[in-house]
Amino acid sequence: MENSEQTFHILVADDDPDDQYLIRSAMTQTGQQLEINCVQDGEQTLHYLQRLLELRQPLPHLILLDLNMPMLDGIQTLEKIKANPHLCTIPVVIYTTSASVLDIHDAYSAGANAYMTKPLDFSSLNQSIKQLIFYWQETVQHP
Amino acid sequence: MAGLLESFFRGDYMPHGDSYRWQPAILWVNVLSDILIALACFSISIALLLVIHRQKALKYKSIFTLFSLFTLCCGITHILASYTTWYGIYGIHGVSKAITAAVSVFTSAMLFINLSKWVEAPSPLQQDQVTNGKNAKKTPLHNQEMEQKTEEIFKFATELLPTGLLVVDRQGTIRLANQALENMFGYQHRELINKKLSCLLADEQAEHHDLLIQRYLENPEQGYAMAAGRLVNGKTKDGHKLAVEINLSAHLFNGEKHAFASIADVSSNTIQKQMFREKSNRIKRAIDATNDGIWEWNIQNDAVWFSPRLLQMIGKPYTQTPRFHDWLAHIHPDDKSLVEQYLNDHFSGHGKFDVVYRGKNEEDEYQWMHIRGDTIFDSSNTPLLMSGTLTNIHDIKMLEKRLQEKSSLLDQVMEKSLSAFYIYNIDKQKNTYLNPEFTYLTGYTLDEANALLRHGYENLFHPQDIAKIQRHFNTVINTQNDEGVGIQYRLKHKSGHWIWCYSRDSIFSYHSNGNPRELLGTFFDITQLKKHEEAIEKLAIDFYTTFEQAAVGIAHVDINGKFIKANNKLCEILSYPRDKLLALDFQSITYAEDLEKDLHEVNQLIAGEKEYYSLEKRYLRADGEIIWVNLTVSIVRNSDRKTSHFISVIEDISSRKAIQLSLAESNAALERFAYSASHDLQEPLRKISAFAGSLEQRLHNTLQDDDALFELDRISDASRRMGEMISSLLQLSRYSRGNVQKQPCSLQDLLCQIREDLSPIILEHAAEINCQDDLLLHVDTCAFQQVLRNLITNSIHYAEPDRTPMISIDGDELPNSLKIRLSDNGSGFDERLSEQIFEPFRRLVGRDKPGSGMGLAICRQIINAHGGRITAVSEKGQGSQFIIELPREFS
Repeated sequence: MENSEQTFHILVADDDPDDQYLIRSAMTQTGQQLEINCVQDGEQTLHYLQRLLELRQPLPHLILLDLNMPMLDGIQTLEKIKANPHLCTIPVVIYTTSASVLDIHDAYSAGANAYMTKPLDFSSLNQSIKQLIFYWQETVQHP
Repeated sequence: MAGLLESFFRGDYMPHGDSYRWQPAILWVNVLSDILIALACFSISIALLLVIHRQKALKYKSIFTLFSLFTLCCGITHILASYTTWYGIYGIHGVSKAITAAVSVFTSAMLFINLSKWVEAPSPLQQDQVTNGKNAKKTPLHNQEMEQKTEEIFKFATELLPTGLLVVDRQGTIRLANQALENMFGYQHRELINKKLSCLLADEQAEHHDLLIQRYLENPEQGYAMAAGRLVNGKTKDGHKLAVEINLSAHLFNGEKHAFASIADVSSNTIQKQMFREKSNRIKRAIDATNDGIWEWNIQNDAVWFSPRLLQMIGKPYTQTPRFHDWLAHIHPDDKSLVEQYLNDHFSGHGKFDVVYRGKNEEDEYQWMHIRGDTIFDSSNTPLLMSGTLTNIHDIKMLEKRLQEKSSLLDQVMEKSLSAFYIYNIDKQKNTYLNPEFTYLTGYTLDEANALLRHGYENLFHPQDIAKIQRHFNTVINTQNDEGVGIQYRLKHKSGHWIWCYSRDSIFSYHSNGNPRELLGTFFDITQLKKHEEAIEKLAIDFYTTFEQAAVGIAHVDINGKFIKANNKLCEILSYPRDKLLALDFQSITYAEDLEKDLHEVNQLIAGEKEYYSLEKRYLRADGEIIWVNLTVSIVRNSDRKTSHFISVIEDISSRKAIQLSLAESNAALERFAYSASHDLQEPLRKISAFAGSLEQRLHNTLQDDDALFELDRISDASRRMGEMISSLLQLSRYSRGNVQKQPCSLQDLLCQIREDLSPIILEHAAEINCQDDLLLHVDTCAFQQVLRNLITNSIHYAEPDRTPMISIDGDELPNSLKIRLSDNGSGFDERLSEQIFEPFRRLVGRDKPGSGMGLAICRQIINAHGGRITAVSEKGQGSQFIIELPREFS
């Protein structure tokens, strides 16, 4: 339980399997005890969370949300999460390739807890994921 | 025959004395009687001849001559008769008798032939004699007595008259003087008869008074000074002076003129005095009433009498005893010698004294005077008394002078006028006057012009104008007012070419019956004017053709927007018939969305802010379609700068617009493509980069192959550069859409921000950035900052290695634009490449310098998106200059 309690749950919503792989790879390299689940789009994200609530399973500690996704896009998904009183406390970080000011504005308006642009090179990606994990792990587990 | 002739001239016949038997008594009675008869006959004959010779006006001269000849013949016959007493020349005596007989018979015949005529129309003298003779024969004795008595009564009455009576003959001898006169002058009865009149006159008047009488008798006019009462100084027998008034009349008595005078003693007789006073008052009134001055000058004693008016006229109205010198003194010094000359001429030549001179008037002004006078001379031509009048003719003279000036002015005008003048005599059908300008304009002298006219109008006027000229001529003649009638016609110049004339003609003078006599015509050469007129007409046609046949729509529009004129093409573009279009204004057919913009421009034109404008707008055609046009409007102003109308040129650009639209659509599609392409390209690139990185990291610890690591590094580097290029392309495509958000900001504020952004690189290169000017810009702040950032970064990157980078920025406000100039002292570039450097991915340097080659392309894209332009000039090694021009924003 001790172990389980120390495990940091992350839900990654990205339609790009390459990105999922790279994010997962970068997260693994942090050496932290992580549980990483991946979904393809917004629908799946909401569905996954709904199931956890129904099964009374523990919710993820952090959600990484891509913006450009099929079906339900990142912003819409974010709005729905933040509108749900059972889910709204989960920190959501927008992790996307877009650096558009408009997207940033929309994201924060919808209740995003952070907005990060995916770096081009792998070392930067690694670094940014590392910082992200450390920060939110600390924030969530030792508020 | 010879024997007969000889017998006539023989003297050897028996003398006549034998018939008297030489009885002395008988002989001498005959001889002496014959001689006496002959002498009497000769003297009668001579007397008759003298009468004929002396009496030039004698009637029936021929009969007198015949009488004279007849008596002469008688005398000769009688002489010969006495001669024949001693010598028998009976032949000659017979011839003499025959001649006498012939003359006497002829005379007698003539007498009887003309007798009736002479009896019916006797001469006055003969009539008198005839009448007297008749009376003498027929009047009974008591009539003669009666006549004698009447004569005695008349004589007695004459003697009783209180007025003196005097009859003087031509020689100035007194023929009759009544008692009253004798008493008046203290003479005895009949003592004055046959005395000279001068004995009754004071010495100083005696001589010229005689002359006066003679003159009067020669020309007895009542107007003559003496006739109607003249005051004369008489002289009594004992030498006293006596003032008398004389009235004269002249009558013929016994064939001789006599002066009959009535004389009144005005010194003693009160009645006479009164009469005289009345008379002199009458004269005085006349003298006072006349505007002329009256004068008399006794040349002998230099005494003068001037009428008050004359004294006034010569400026000496209050002079009691005027002198001749007073008049002389009033004459203008310049005229004095002239007047004296006239006076001398008058005295020596006896002509009338009549001279005009300038004399000083009462107001001390010189005015024009006219003096006239006449003089009485004595027998030795010495002037005695002079009298006359003085008239102020200043006004007349001034009028004359003005008239003269005017007519001289008129002459000058006629002679020197720029318009030709002519006077045409209608009856003579020729010109009587042409001024020099006429000759100058037409080449003809008066004679030449008349010679041409004589041979018909067609020699002088253009055949097409002759009918018009004849109508004009009739109009002028029948026109009542004298304002003149104008006409334009062609006149043949002497050298043969035609000149256009504008002529204005009127009646110059009329006959006494009111018919026009002369025409006065003036004319100008309007050939040049005509040429201009034709040129203008041609211009108008050209304009009309240009207007109507232009391939663009043209309209004149009034200040309210109403169409005044529209050409065919415009009607076609707008699909309106012309009359419908001209009833509309442009506002009503302008597409609603475009109206405000158009009106704004129109107002700027009216306000004088610009002279024309061009814009693309839409009209609503009559068929309901919307049409795109390119409209160019210019303003036409009156001479007082007020708007007259607008000229609109309208070009149908709907096809161009359609192309533009499709081009814009394709551009937009291209931009969208570029955006999405570059966006989508970034995705796999990121993967390449990330996986290459991941692989590098993963293999770093296990793989000992340096070549493999190097190659992985090259992949990473290439993907990084490609990423930069893609992001540049993204920027480029973003600005090419023209979506710049303009807002006001100051150049200095922008530079301040850039200095901060670029502080690391500025510090690294110790670059200096100077900007003294400030401008208010209307730009997209972010985009414009990027432009300046790119340019400054370039300047620092491309600085000469041994030089501190110096960048100076200055700004200029031009009337229609803002200019920002950025100069550096860097390495510069080849001038020929000044355009190429703005092309995307263009790099002038090697890989050792950082940059994607997109910086200047992005700058140009951003500036273009602002409606401005950017250019560069440079000299290799001397630095570069980038010039940005932005349109000014008028808000």
